[in-house]
Amino acid sequence: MNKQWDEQTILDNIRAGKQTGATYVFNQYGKRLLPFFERHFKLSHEEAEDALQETFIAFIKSVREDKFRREASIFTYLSKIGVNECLRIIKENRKPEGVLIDGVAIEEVPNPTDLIEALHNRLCIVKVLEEFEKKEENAAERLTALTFQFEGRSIKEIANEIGRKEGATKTFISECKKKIRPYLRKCRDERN
Amino acid sequence: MNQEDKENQALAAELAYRRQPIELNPQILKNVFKETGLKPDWQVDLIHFGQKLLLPVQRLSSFLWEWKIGVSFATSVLLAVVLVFQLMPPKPVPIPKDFVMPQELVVSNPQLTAQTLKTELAKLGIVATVKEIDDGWIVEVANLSTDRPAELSDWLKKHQLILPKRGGLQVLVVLEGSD
Repeated sequence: MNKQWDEQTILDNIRAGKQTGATYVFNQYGKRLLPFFERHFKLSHEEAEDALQETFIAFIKSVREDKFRREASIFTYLSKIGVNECLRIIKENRKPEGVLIDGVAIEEVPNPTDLIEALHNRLCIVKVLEEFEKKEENAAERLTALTFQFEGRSIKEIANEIGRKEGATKTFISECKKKIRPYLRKCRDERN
Repeated sequence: MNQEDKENQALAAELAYRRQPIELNPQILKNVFKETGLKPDWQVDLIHFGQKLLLPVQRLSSFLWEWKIGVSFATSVLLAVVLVFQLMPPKPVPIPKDFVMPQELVVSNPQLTAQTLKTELAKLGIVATVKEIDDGWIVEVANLSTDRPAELSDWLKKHQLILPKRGGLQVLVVLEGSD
């Protein structure tokens, strides 16, 4: 979240009945929520869009009616609303089976707490990565290396992509993981 | 799956998203705005600007309204006070203890009668004064005490006058047909 749109500015803008703060939140988090809804709740694209729309309607109404008291961050609040909306859609469409929690299929209706945690992590990462990019040297290169590793590429492939030797790449990736760990921990601390 | 794995999974998802960001259906946001009543910032600012401009007018209008109520109330109170005074019977003016109700004699020659009365009273030892007024003469006796009460009584009967219960005597001598 940049300086122009910190949480307070977003909330003030929405409370004033303006659109730009909500548009920022929608573009920032909506794009992450939609695939999350599709993947973790096995919703169709249309159902996920419906869940996304209802999530934002509920969020904006909460802010405007002063129900959102800033005890949690915007994305934590959005996560709770989003999970509840998805569960509502699943319940209405009677297909609780096959819902995933962190990619693992379960047969029963999922535990909302786990889903909220997963969604919280997903949205919180957006914020902490912005911070990482601002504060850390070679942030873009480090994230690229991590991306390749998450994609399952070999050290050799990664070394070729980032222009380092294999040994140096291994060390670099290990260093990247260490560097990013404190940022990821912030999400855990915030949730707790 | 431990906390670190969950965080890594979220990180992997975000990094993958960054490689292939998605575009959202713009209709979703339009529907959200329609449902929540959010308006373009410039419209809201324009409305606030208009409200700021109207504020002095509203204040004046409010002041006039309150002022009108105040004036109406004051007028009502004033009207009520006037009505009360109008409807209340006038308080009788207290009559002084030494007040003597004048007795009237209607005659053809008031001046002569007044002088006669003064003379006759003098014979009884009673001092009287005669004064001319607008429509006749007035004979005033401050002290009616005499050592000849029987003669005074006859004199009163003769002129059809009544002995006052207290104080002196006042006789208003007026001309016949002067009303």
